Amino acid sequence: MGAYHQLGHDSWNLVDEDGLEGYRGLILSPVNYSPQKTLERLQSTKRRESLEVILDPQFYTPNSERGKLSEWTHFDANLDTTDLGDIAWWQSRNAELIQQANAVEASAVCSLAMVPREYSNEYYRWIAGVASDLSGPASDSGLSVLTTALVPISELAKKNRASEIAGLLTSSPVLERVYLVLVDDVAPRKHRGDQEGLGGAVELIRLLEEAGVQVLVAFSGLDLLLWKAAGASHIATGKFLNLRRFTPGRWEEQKDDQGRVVPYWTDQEFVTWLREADLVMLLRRALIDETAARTNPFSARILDILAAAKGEPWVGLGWRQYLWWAMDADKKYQSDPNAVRELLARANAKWMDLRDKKFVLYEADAEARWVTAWINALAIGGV
Amino acid sequence: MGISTGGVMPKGMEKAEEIAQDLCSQLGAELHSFLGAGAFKAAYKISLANSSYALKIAPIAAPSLDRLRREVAALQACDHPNIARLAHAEALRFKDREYLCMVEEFLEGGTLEHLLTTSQVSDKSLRLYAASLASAIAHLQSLNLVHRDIKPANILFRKTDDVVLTDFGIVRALGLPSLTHDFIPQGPGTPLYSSPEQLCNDKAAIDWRSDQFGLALVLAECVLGRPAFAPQPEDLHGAVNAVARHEHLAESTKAELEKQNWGCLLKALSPWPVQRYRTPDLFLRALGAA
Repeated sequence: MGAYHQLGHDSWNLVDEDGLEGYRGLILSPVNYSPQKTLERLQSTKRRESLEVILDPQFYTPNSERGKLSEWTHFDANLDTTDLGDIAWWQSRNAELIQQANAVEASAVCSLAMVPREYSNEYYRWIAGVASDLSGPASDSGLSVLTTALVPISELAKKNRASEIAGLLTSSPVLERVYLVLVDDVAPRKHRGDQEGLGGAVELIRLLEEAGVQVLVAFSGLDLLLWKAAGASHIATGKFLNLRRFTPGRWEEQKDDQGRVVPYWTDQEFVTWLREADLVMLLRRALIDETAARTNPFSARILDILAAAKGEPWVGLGWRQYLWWAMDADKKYQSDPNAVRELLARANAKWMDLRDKKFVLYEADAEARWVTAWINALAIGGV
Repeated sequence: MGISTGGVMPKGMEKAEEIAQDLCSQLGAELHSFLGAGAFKAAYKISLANSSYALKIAPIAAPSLDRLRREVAALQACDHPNIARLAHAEALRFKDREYLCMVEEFLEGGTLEHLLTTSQVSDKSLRLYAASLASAIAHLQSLNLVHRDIKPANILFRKTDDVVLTDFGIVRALGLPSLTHDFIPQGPGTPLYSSPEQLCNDKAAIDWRSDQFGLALVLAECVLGRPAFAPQPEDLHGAVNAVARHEHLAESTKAELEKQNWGCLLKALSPWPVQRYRTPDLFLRALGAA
C-alpha cells in the first residue's frame, strides 16, 4: 500500500517536504525532465533510500508531445517514419528503456504503450505482449515491471468491457503489476461523472486485484477514493490536483484576474476543491468543520493565513494540503468501500444542505452530481 | 491385409488403405490397423524397427499447410511426459499428391472418451489425470502454445493412469499470426469443450487459461457424469450456449462439485479469463490441494 508522487513540472521540491513522508515512491516524468536533470534531482533527494522510483516512459503520444522526451534514449529519433507494428522495433525500445531506467537509478519501469487509434482487444493483447517482452531483461537488470494500460473511461462503460480488458492485461503470468492510466477529456479540477464508466473502472481494478495483480492508478485526483475502495494497491497523484495526462490544457495553471495562480483548498467533507472566496464563505457560516480540517497540518496553516486576512498567498500550501489528504486517504480507505460510501453520503448531504441554503460555488457543479455518480459507481463496480 | 477404416475419411484420403500401405513402405514400416480419422488426418497403428507407433497421415493442401506445420513445430518443441511424443515427421508423395506423415508414439491404453463409456474413473485416478494434464498445460504455456482442443477423445493413456495429451491439430502459437479470420463467429475447437473466448472467436483473449477452462470442463464432466454447463443432462446444445453467453455455473452444479471435493474447478470454469487461475502454478497448486 502507499501513494506515489506523480512528478510533473517543478514538483521535485515537494518530495522532501516535512509532513509528506508517507509517500512510498515517485513516478518520474521524462516529458518534464531530461535524464541528467532527473538523476541530479533524485540523487539530491534526502528520502531517496526509502522511495521506490518508477520510470513512466511517457510514450503515449510521442509524435506530438515530446517535451524533454526526445532527450531520453528510449525515444527514437526515427519515430515518425518507423513501422509501429514491428515487434522488433518495440523490443529495441525496451532495451533502451531498461538502459535508461538504470541510468537514472530507477527501481521499476512502466512498459511502453502508445495511444491507439482504437482501444481494441488486439491493442490490449499487444501492450501486454510488449510488457511481457520487457519483463525478462528488466528483471535481469533488477527492475520491476508495471504493465502500462491506457483505458478510456468511456470504454469501461460498455458491458463486460472491464472483464475483457482485465483478462487481456493478465494474459502473461509473469506480469504482476499494472500502471493504470484512465483516459478521458474532463477538464482540470472538474470531476468525473460518468457513473457507468467509473463503475467499469472500479470493476477493472477489483478484477485485477482479485487476480493477484497490483494496480497503481496513475494521475489520480479526488477520485482516488473510488480506486482505493475498489482495492487498488496504489495511487499516484501530483501537486496539480487531478492533473490528467490526456486532458487538454492540463499544463496551464488556473489564474485569477490579476494573473496570479489560483490557490485551491481540498475539502474532505464536500469532496471537492474550493476557491478562496467560497472557502471563506463556508467557513464564516460554519459549513466546514474547521476543527476536523485542522487534522491536516497544511489545512491548519491555510486557515491561519485566512484568519489573519493579510492577503498572504497560499498556492503552495494548497498543493501540500492536497498531497497530505491524498497520502492520508490512501491509507484510510484502502479496500474499504463502506467507508468511502459513508464519506460520499455525508458529502451528498452537505451539498444538499448548501443548495437548501441557496449557496452556489464557483467551481463545483451545484447539483454535485459526481458525488451520487461515485456512490453508484461503487455499486456498479461490484464493491 | 485388409484395413478396416469405417467412417468418413479426410478429403484426399479416399483411397485410404492404398495410401497408407504405400506411405508405410516408403517409411520402412509395417501397417497394422486403422485407429481413427478426423477432419484432416487419418491414423493407423504401424510398427517400425520393432516398435509400435501411430502414423497420422494428412493430405497436404494449401489451406491446411500452415496448420500442419504449426502442429509439427509444436510437437517438436514439446518435451513433457504427458504430451504425445513425435518420433518423426516427413512429407511423402503418393501418386500426384503429397501427404504429411507424423509418426507418434503409440498409446495403447486408448482414450479417456472410451474409458468413460466403459467404466467409472475413480476419484484417485481422476486427481492423478488432473495434475498430469495441468502440468502438460503449464509446459505448453511456457512455450507460448495453446492446445485449444482438450477433450476426452484427445486424452489418451500409455498404460493405466499414465495420461497423455494428444492431437495438436489446432494448436495456437501465440507469437505467430492467427490462421483464422476475425469475421468468423466461432473460433476453432470442439464446441462442447471450448472456452467462451473460443466460442466467441475472441482471438486476442485466447491464452493458456483457455486450456485451463477446457481441462476443467473435462474434469467436471468426469465428476458429474454430464457436461458442467448443461441445463439438463442431455442438453449439449444448451451447455455450449451457456458457455458462449459467458454464464456462470449453476449454483446446483457448484454445490455438487464442492460436495465431491472438486471446488477448485469453479475458478477454472469462470466465464472470463481474468477470474480463472492467473498462473499455471496456481492452477496446479489448487488441483493438488483439492
